[in-house]
Amino acid sequence: MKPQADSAQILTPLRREELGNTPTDRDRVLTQISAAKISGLGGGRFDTASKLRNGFGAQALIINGLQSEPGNNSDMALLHESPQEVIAGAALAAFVTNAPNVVLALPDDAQLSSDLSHTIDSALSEQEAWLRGLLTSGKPASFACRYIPAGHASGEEHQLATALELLNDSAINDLEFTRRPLVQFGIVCINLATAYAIARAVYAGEPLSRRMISINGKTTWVELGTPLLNITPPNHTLDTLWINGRHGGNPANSLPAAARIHPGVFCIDTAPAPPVAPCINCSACVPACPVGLRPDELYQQLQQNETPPPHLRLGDCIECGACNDVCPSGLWLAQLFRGARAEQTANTKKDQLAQKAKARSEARTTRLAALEEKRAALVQTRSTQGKRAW
Amino acid sequence: MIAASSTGLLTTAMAAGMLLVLAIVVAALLSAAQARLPKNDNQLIDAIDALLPQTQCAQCGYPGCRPYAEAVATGAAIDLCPPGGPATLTALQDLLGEHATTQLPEPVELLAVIDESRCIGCALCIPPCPVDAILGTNKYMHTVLAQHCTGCELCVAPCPVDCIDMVEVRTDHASSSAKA
Repeated sequence: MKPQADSAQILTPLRREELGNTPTDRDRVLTQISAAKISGLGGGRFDTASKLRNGFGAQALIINGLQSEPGNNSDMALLHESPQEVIAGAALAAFVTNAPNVVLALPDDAQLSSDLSHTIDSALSEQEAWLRGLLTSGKPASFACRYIPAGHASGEEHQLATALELLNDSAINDLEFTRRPLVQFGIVCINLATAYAIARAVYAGEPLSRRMISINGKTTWVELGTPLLNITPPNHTLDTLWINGRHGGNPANSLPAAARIHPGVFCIDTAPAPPVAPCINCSACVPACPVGLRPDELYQQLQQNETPPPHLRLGDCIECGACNDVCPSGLWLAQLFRGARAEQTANTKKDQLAQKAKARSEARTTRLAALEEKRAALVQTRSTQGKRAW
Repeated sequence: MIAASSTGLLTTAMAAGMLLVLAIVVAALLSAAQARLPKNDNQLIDAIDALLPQTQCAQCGYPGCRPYAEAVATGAAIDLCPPGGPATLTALQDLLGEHATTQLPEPVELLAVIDESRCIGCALCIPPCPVDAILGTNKYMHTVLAQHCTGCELCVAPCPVDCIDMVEVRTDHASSSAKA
């Protein structure tokens, strides 16, 4: 693993031979990941060390190489560039989570060259050999590459786990299934670029300071913190850019924080055209929705400023933008649903706080009433005894 | 003659039929309206109370949310709740079928913060707190339990050294609400 020209060795690298099947060594790796400040590069930006720590004992580990947004190919570019690091990172994640099944999930349209497939296969078997004896179960039950039909939302972790047949039907049909973290089902899913960052952090002592990003379909390495407009063609402003995909993403001007590259920005596109017409009730969005919602009905409800009824399952929307993709009017449905979902979450939280405040206020009233009663009783006793109350 | 009387009969029958239909429709509407309103006073008070923001701030002129709900149930104005803002006003209008003429501004979520370097430990702010969110005792510095504070501002006035500030809570609604 040769360090790259502009890499910065800041942490003390760990050597693979030093690592044994002990909690201490798992902790050393996690500490290194934590010190490298790695957060999920798939867009979620969750703290990777915490995610892996919480995922200890998981049955399966997925390295997510699917990017469902059309035009976004940063993960595949990274795999082309450094397949060995990606797979070394996958093995490290398997080591710290002790997960016996490791899947490197790639899109079926990846079109890997025979050289690359060969490199991937040999890296997989090499890392599997290293993992042998490092898991409490002895050796990995499987450590393989799987090709998943590419398509909208195929990279969303719940969809991916379903496609990999790692979940049973009762879990999938559960209401609000997509709101429950996968770790509850014994699955840890990390992004392919995160796996790469783990390998760099552990074996090269490199903190997370840059990421692979796709700008209008072209991939390049970008330092975190770079202003968006520094790396986009000069005729762009924040109003003409869209981050994290043209369908499920956000307008760059909606989030001031997104004006700079952070780990959750993986794709910058020219902004899509604004809606051309109102909804024409064609219901093309219904078969397109990967989680079986009725985007048309949700849209009608939200347009009338009404709270969608529970049976429309707004909470289950994964904001993938598949509905935007097929809408002949070019409506930005996913963004509308995202706003509504955020509002729903905020309202639920507000209600919970109100309930708590009410309970505390009632407890206080009861307490004060009891004190007052006690005081009155005391006054009564004192006065019947002919003494002064106080 | 016979034709005319049968026509008259038909008209009468039709009129009666239409009246019957009208009666059924009106009855259905009335029962629906009744179903929307809670059955007795306590249920009505509970329903109103559930719509109030539970800040217990007494800005309505009643000592807390529950007392205000009781007052509204007996006819008090429904536009007296600033922390509830337009959302609460609309919800109350929908529940009670009343229409308020005034408009409330969008509320600002607040949190009390004690400047600990200025607090003299007098404990005067503690009794007014409706949700027991201030921790402290005489001659010891006080602090606000942020997760319990409702931002009612009732602790601000009693403080003799003016060391309590109301700060705006940063709500993270950032997640873009691009309108379709």
